[in-house]
Amino acid sequence: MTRFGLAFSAFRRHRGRVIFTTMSVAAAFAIFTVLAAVEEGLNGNMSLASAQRLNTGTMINAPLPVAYAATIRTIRGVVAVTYQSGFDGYFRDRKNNVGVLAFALPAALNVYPEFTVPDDQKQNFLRDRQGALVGDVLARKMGWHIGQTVPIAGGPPQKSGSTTWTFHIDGTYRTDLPTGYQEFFIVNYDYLNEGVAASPIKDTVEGFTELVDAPGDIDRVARAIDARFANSSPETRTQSEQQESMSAIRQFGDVGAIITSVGLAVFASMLLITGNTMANSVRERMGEFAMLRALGFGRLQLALVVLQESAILIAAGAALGVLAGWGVSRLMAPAMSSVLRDFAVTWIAVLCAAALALFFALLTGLLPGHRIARLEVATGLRRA
Amino acid sequence: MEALRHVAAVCSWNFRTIGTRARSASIVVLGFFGVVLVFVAVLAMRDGIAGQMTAEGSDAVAIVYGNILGELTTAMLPAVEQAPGVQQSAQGPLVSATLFESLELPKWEPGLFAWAQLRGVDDKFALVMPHFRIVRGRMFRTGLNELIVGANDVRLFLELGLGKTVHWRARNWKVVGVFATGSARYDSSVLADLHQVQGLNASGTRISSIFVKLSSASAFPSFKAALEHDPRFRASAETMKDYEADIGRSLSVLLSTADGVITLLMAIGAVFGALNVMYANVARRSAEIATLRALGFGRGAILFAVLSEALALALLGGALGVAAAYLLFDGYEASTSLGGTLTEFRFTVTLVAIALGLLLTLSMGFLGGLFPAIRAARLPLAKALRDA
Repeated sequence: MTRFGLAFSAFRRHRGRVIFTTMSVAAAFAIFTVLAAVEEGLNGNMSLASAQRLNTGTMINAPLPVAYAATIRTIRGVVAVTYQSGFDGYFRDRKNNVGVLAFALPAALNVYPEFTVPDDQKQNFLRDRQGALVGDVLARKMGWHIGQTVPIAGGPPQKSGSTTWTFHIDGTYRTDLPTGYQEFFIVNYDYLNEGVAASPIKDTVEGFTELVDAPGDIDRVARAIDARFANSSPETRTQSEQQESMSAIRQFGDVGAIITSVGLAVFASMLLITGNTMANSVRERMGEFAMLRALGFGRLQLALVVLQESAILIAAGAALGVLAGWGVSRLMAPAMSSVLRDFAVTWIAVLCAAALALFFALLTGLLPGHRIARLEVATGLRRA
Repeated sequence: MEALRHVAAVCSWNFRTIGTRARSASIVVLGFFGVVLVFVAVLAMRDGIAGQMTAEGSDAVAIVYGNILGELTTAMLPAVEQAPGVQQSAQGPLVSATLFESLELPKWEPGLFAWAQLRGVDDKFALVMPHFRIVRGRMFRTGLNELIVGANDVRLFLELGLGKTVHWRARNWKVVGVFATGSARYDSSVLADLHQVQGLNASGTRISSIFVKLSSASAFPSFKAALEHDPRFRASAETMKDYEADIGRSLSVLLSTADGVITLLMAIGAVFGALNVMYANVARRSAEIATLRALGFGRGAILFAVLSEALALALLGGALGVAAAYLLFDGYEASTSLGGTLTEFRFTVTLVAIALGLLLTLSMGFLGGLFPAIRAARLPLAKALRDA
């Protein structure tokens, strides 16, 4: 009989134990996978475009004059500048929130390549001053179709005094960014700004977004922008998008650290418990092994059988667990992405799980294996 | 009656011999202990955040904010003061204008910086904010660069101690007092004179929100309706209670989801671990069990004995888990970012969380014990006795 055969026939005779042990290991690895996704959400890296983007605002959430854009454009290293303002409006009923985002066009579409729009819709949108580009999720929610004219209430007063603005839906965009980004109502800044009645917000923006020529240049450009407005009022504060999300994550602070450290402790203790159970089961079968030794199997051969047994159990459990963890993470993603934008299982996490599984298999296989190798046939048989 | 005595006899025999299975029993207890500990601890974190966002009375305070950045100014105060339901006092209607700022400050931990929220407030804020009190020092004086610091921020930030001076935006600000309100985000903020903060930049009379004390919580709907239909400006109003709860919600959802998923996975692991141990116990003791059956004890008594052992172990593990969660985490202070502000909160182990933890452990024990108990009850007598 081959060694494999021996290991498998042992499995057949202890079907319950094999299933339970595999499931315990699987549960532990599923937790590991979910935690790895949380960790990725805490430390994740952004898209390529994001590494080249800067955001300019103020320290105080105050509006900035739109005229700053012309100055920012002259700074070396700035490839494109867009700016945004907007309002929290609603469609027909106050419950139907619509986040209207007014962008400088066409620059915004170059600065944010993450928003993908079919070419013909894009051209229509750029030609139509009153046009709107709507996130596919929002369009579906509201039941809008391309070509429709929609009134959005709750905006700033127009020259006529009305606070309801009318836009044409020229297209929808798709994006892989988290759910919040899939529900914008993008319109032309110039249209909004020209229509708005005289008020302190006329000719102002909430912030500027700059695309920089190279990721390596980003800190210099950020400092250069703030230096240009150092004595203006208001002063600016420019940060890279990555820096912003880093500080958001750093602020998430203790909660993230507690979740991951507690979870890792749980993972480790679950593995220890399972390992103990597996060692126990070998001890309980000492009689069988003594019998096999008496039949002529070598010490090393039997030790390898035990090692193989634990390796198969753990490999199956770990694979099942990682798969389950991945599935669970997919299901959790909508709830998590509001706080952890990069919540996802990565290949690195899967590799880590594989390495841990290997280490664990050696640990739980070698100790009992060592015991079996030292087993005296007579003692073993007497115990059975 | 006879059956009951049998059950009692088998159970007591079972519990008296549990010492011989101490090792495997402790594995079951440890597994359940871990699940319940984590479950209750994360619930305590969630309940701590939710419970400390606002204090009592916050449903009678309205927060008015503009729909468009930069649109709300002090010019709108008179209109708000005349809205229905506003509480009157000797100092006039209880309406207070505030302006947010953020300042980046070093934390107590070396090398770490975080954003602290600074609110420029006028002199009525102390009357509008529920439970506002100065704990140490005194209130800032209008017209001076003075700060008062929330009770939590004093602990979080290195430079925010009483009597210290913070250099910020080319001015020196003196910390003259410490205040507390019982609402987490406010106790993690810094207050200064509204006009001093407005004067820092050309924001003029711009403000970010207006706090309004209402005569009662029931006055809010008419106040909101009057304000939102006022053609002079567009602003939204919400009670402070709802406004703060909203800010805590996304974190709450995240914690509930994470807690649910991780607990479920751990519970699966623990139940299978228990099944493993309990089945092994039944197999090892099949001779004893068969002997009992041969002596005339019924299947029911055996089933009950094995199941009750699993439940007892689960209850022990769960109780230890709840106790450990309570001792380790109740009142534990942690900080996180809420609405852009570093906010400190205390974990709170609630009675509901304890009850849920115990319910969880009993259900795990039931699942982990039932199937081995059924096997024990159905043990083929002759074979078990022969094998022994």
